[in-house]
Amino acid sequence: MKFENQLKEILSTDCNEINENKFISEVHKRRSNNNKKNQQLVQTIFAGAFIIIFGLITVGSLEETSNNIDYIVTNTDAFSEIDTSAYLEDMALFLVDSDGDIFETVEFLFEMDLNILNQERDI
Amino acid sequence: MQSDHELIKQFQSGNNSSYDKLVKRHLHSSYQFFLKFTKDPMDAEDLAQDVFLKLYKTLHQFRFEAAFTSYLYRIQLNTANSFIRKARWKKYLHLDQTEEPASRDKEIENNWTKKELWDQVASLPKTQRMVIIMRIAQDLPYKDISGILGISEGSAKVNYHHAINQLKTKFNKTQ
Repeated sequence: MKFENQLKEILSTDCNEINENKFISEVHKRRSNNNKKNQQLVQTIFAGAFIIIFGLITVGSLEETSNNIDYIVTNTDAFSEIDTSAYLEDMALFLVDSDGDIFETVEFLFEMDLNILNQERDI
Repeated sequence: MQSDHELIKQFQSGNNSSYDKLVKRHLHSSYQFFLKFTKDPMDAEDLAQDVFLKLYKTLHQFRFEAAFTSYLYRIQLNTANSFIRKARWKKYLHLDQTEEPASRDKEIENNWTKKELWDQVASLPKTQRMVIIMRIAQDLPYKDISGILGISEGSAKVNYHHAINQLKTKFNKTQ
């Protein structure tokens, strides 16, 4: 027997019949399943991209916030700019009126003034 | 009876039932073609389904320059080609569940099984593989093969003979 015929004989099949309608409905079912899978894949990709972008924006804004905090902490000049002289004058008058001893009041104010100066130096 | 091209035109203009008619017309030849590659009729049905799914996706781009059957053969050929390549990889990776040689039928003792034949075909160069599939599984004339593969008729014949000679050598070695 010719070799080609031998090969064809290996491939010979019993003529199996196939149900046309079942086959066509299976094809359409697989087609719609594939479409669903594709849609899910696209949605997943979009969701993933959204999460990544949102994450990057969030991290960026957190970095900006921490810069502001640093700025507030390091900007100590703001404390020295507060004007307390009027408050101290009022308090001195009150102490002189209520206590009567002007030297004690002066000593007290002198200590207080030193404390304020020490605080500023610490900061 | 409507021609294939008429049905395709109707499908392209949105009539899905034309696609079903087209499937019914070509289903049996496609199924018989894939039965030659696999022992299991379910596998053959799956492969035929793959072909008609690909057809559904690409039929909108069909340009009526050639016969529809050539177009269908081309899809079948590519599907068969990837099937036998996958089967070959499965064999390499020992993922296939082939029966032991001792349990083979006596009738095929001096012969290759379908699977062995396609494993050998898978080892051929691509053009030879394509030509041999179309010749021995579809019995296509060289003229059609040359049209589908875009090669000359002479080249198709040469490729076929090279392929047959290689298969013959491998077959004799296994005897």
